[in-house]
Amino acid sequence: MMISDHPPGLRAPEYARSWSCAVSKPFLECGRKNWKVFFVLWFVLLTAPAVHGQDEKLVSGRVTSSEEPEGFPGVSVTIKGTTTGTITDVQGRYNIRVPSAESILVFSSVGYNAQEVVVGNRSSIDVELLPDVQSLEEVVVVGYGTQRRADITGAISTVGAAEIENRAVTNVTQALQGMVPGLNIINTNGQPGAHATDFKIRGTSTFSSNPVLVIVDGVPSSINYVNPSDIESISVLKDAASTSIYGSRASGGVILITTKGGKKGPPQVEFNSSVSIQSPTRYAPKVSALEHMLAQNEMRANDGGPPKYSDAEIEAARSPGFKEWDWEDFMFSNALQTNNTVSIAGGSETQDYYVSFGYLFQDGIFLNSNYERFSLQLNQNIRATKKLTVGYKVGYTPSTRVAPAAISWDHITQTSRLIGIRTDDGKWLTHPERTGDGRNPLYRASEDGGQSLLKRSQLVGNFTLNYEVVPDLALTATYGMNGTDSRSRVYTKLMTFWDQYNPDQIASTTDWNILDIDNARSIHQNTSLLAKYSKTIGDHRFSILGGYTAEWFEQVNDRVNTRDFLTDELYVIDAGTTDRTLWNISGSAADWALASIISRATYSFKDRYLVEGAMRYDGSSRFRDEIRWGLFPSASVGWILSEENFLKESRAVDFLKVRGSWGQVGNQNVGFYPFASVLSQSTAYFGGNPYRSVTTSGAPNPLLTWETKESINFGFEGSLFNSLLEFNAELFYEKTKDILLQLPLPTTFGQSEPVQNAGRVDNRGWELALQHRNTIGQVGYSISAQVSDATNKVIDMKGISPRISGNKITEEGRPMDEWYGLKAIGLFQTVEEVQNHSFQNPITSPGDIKYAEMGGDPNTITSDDRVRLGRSDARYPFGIRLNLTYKNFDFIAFGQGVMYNLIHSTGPVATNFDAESTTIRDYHLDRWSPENPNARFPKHRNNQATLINEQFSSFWLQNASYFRLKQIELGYNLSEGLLKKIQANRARLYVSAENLFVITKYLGFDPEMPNAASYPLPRLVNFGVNLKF
Amino acid sequence: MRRINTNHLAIIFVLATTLSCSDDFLERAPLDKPSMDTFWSSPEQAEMWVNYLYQVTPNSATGLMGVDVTTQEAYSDNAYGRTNRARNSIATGTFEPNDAHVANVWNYRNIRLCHEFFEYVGRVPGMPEAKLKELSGQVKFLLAFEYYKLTTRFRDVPLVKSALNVNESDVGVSPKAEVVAYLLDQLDEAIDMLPLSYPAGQEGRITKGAALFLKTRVLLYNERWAEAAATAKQLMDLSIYELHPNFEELFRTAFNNRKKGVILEIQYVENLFTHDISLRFSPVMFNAHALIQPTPELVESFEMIDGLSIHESPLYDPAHPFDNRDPRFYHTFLWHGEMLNETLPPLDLTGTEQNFAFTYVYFRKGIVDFRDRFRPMHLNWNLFRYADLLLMYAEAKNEASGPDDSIYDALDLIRQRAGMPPVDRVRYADQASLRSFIRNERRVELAGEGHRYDDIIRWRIAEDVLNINLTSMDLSQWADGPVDGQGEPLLKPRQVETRFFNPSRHYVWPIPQKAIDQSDLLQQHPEWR
Repeated sequence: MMISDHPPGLRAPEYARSWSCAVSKPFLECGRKNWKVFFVLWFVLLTAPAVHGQDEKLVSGRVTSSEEPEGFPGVSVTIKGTTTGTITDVQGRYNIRVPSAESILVFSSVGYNAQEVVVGNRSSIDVELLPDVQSLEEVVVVGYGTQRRADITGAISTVGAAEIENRAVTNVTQALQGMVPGLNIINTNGQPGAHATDFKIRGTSTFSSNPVLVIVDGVPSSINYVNPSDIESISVLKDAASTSIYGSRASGGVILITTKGGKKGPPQVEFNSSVSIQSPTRYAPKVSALEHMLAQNEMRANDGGPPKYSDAEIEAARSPGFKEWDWEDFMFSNALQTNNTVSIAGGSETQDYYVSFGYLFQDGIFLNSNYERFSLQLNQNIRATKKLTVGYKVGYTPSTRVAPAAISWDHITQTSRLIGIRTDDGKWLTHPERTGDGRNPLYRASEDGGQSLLKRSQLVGNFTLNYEVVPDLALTATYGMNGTDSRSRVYTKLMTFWDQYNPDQIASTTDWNILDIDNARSIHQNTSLLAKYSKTIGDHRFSILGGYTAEWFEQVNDRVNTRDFLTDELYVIDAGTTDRTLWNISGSAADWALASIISRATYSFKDRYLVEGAMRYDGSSRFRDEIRWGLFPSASVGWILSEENFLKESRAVDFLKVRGSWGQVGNQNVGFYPFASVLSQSTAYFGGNPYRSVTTSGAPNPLLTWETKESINFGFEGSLFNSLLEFNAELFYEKTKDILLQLPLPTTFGQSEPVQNAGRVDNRGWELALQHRNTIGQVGYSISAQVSDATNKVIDMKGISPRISGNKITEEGRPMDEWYGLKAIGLFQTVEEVQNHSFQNPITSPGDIKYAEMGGDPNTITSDDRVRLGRSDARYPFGIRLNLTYKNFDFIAFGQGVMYNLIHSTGPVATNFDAESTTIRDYHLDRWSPENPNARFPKHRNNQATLINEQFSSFWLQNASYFRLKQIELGYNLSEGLLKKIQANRARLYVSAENLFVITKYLGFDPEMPNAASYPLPRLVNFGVNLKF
Repeated sequence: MRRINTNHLAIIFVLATTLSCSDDFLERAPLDKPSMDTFWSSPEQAEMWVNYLYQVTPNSATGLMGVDVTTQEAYSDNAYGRTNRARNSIATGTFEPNDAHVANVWNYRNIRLCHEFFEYVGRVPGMPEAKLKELSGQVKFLLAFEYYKLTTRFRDVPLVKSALNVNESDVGVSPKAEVVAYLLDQLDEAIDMLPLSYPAGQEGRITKGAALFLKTRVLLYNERWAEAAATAKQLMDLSIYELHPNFEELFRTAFNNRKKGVILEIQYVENLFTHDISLRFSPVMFNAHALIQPTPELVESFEMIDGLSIHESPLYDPAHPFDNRDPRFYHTFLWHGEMLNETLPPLDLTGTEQNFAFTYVYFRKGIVDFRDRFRPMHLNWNLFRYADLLLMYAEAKNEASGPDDSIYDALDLIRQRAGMPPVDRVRYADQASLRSFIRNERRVELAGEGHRYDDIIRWRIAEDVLNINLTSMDLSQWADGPVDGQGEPLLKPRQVETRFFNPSRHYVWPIPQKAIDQSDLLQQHPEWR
């Protein structure tokens, strides 16, 4: 369809074909056909002809590499000492006119060692470029700039496009999990589009929260709305030396995401597409209806109550025709996911460009859920004059998430298989004993119960003017923005519940249909003016960066809730009730601003001694004027040993560097106006009339200022034996002071605690990454592994140590938030044992949990018997990756996990009978009874009513460490002959699986999201294709 | 564009940073909330502050409590709290310092807000003297109410007399007598300041009568009998309250704010501010939860229509156990075959409902207007009733000086309204027998309203009435009772739960563990160490 629209002059019809594939059906169905015109216009603009030199001698040839044996397109070919040059075409061929035989041609491409060739009297020069194995010339994105990898003195890990783009992941966090030492990522929910991940760099260093600052193309943004296929590189900045240039927001570390740019050369079209089948990973199985009934009666008997099910009812359940309901089977199904991206990139002397369009559709494995995301990326640099470059990167990501209007995972997980779901003719059932919201949680979750629709769009743009005042001195002005617009519409339908045992009779109905609309907008804007000067004089190389930046942010939301609609199809407020007492309207707004001065200087001598200093001076609107400004400096040094004479000739050592850094960064994550004593409004009623009422909302602290983290980092990295072994080790020590903390105050204070600058926490740890690469015969392989750990220690709590908060204790001199509670020492076996032990509870009897007497009253188990039960934070996150290539095949296996994770297992999945009507899991059948004294679980009890077993103790601390095979993939590259037939440069087909299996001792749902009765993570089987034209 | 003038470029750079150059770029004030600094500028605003103190979350235990007081019924021998520990751990004696419901009652927020009122109200320009008095009186009452709740449960508690700074906020306990003295002072001042009533449309605000009522109760709970009787008399002598003629109408939504006999009604409004007392009381078959169910002991405490107990009266017939009872019986309970209201089917205990009807009887009081769980109720909750006052008067006077006519007269008013014979002045002629009569009358009149637990604690009879094996009603002889296929009665007696009360520990609640953990001065009560 689109081909017919393309204007004359469009160069390569072959990629247009794939282009039309990407503009997949749903896109067109949206009726946004004007996009087509837009695309074409862009294309015309971007393929402006390149400028060529005109000179005496014509040299031609072909450039190849081991990866591009049939011709390496896009290689830059320049005449040394001039700006004249060209780039190789699709077949890797080039033509260039050189002024004389003495001219030297320089062949270069990112990731490859540049080659210089004297022309002589040859007219044909073929060159094979060698990959830059050590990637020393590789350019790494750092804060407000780029650096050679070899020059880096801070702790920075990078992930490149190659490691991301071939996976069937839907967002960046999934792609990063297990890839970067010190970056721990936990999925908390598998719902499509929910983007529920917690990620943390280097563990916990503060009592407050210090989220990772994510910057996409220079603009603070959400990590979830970048199309992974568009990403050129990700830099994870971990130590203060690399993050201090982000000053007061950097204490949680910084992730810089850079989208792809164009390279000089003819348009390269790439098409990546995958189709996946998703299925649930793990879901703890419920016992059968019969087992449930027997267990219920056993539980009642244990608690001294009457049996719930009569013998006749149990007998009926034993009969073969007995109807039981498989909830998991009903609510989960295999679901399709498709992910497509088409991109065009290229460039000339005067400009380069990258344009991509992505479309993701992920159907949910649970009822009534799916996610659709378009992503459009337009990146361009225009060299307007010799001195002026204008560039922009714009990403636009509209998405639509469909979810149930209400999911009560609690009700879903606790309901037994006796409880009905839906008749074959579509009547939703309720069991007589289920009431209220528990009547039929799947009805509420289904489309018949309503739907929650979230339309969100994000526009991230960064515009740059770069002006080269004199050689080596450049001024850069930027304007960046990140605008989000989200429109949430939740509609709950009227529901009719039919009696499970009498499905012709209505058991109950709901009274209202309800519409809830929540519109939220936010815009983050930033400007900067930077000057960069860099110079090489002999063995001395130095650069200076300085400038000013300002950022400001605003958010607004409006919410309306109304009900009593005449029909279910009209989702606008006017279609609802006219009775204003049924309306609910609210709205809020907030803003903040930040002004900063930034600077950085680097110096290197003989490419082996490296020194760097950086500084940021931040002023924040979140603090009062006198204490608003903070200075965040850093300094670092590096020594490249392998450049020294004593190692330079070494065959064993390819590269070796040691480095050390010191720096300070800040945290200002304290809400928008922590200094202001604000009031909140509500309503009180007298005589049936509403009266306005006002009260304080939280305690302000006008003296509040930055939390500061000071950190030291040592790094040791190298490459040995021709890259047979590469390693990178980091050691760090961080002190966080003036921690922004809500100190738990005595309850007699009578108000939520104000945030204070209080306390100090130290955090230390290490990271290790190893990689082995080799080729044996035709098999090339690499194995890489990474692991890390961090341990914090509370140094100062301003005199309130120790503080117990729920089941956790924090005390000076110890790690934060250790588990604290009664220590379980098995199950009581006999009445005598109960009597001889400290008194626990009047109803304690054999089969209940026995707690250790640890102090206080020696005859009674009280809160004085609580002890430390272990650390509550996960430790030793690790990842292992294997890459194999053989002829045209490639193979990837990648696994990830944590080695220590002690979690408090609660709720219906953990305890046998969390409450009266909950059911139990298969593993709960191993409960105590006189016949089964060595059981895994205590005897069945109604735990909500008695709590004596369910109360927090070491019994419910479970080891949730795990190893998960995240990805396994087999790819096949089409052979030359086939490629020619389809006129492609590269075509790769692959089949892969994500989340294939998990090894863990944890009983329950997914160990990545323990306890969470929530949307499970999907397992995916993918079929994909990568095409390059 | 071959060449860009350097001047042009400078202009672009300046434009790019202009926004950030202005001085007030970093001055940001909250966009959507008023600030304490600018509040307190009119009498109306001072009243808004007071209004907040009245706010109860619909079912919460904070502030004036509202319908949540019914939860306390299951702490006592009046009711069984099904499924939820927060409802039955008190009665089963399994509660401990970490329990959420223990922590919920320990709440100093409203105390702070009351003190802040007095700290800030002086700033209000042009505050009329009368308005200041009226508002101050309400705040003093609400302050006293918090200490009344705290001392009733925890006995000795920290006494906070001002809005504390952070560094002085740790306060150890004061003896109960000292706290009670403080709260009575507040109440006395409130009584002086408060009006007898408010203009129409403001029902629910604290009146002089409400303050006198609370004072009576505090004195009674502290066994200051003579003072309690005198204060009750003072309130009776205001002559603005009398018993509402119809007992049942006290619990009907249509009579919200239309009952002369109610001294303080907690206000609810249809759709806007509703509660779900129905969830606690209503049968499961009506989509509620039947969380609180009357015990057989409570059912039995209701006399026969002749004024005799079921054990004495010739009218009692186990085959017809629900016939010829005190008329209040029929407004208080619901059993198999009975209608709750006209729109709902009769209660049917033959099916699944049996699994939830642990005691075979439900409460009806307060839920007569209930239709469905998804139509939350807006029945005002009668926090202070005139009948309660008469009962308090009778009890205090009897304890202070023994039986006299004023006591019998007060009780007869209640008996007469209920449709029961007057008190047998011969049979209950001595202090002890009258005491037991008053106690039973109190139990019957106020059944389901959350007072029983306080009563059995202060009477120190909890160790007798709570140390039992709770069983269901014995309805095996009931002629109209449901039967199974073989004609056998379906509602056979069955064990409900084992209750436990340790007199050396359970007469006072433990200080919440959280409060102890967060304080250097607080120590657990000796009973709970």
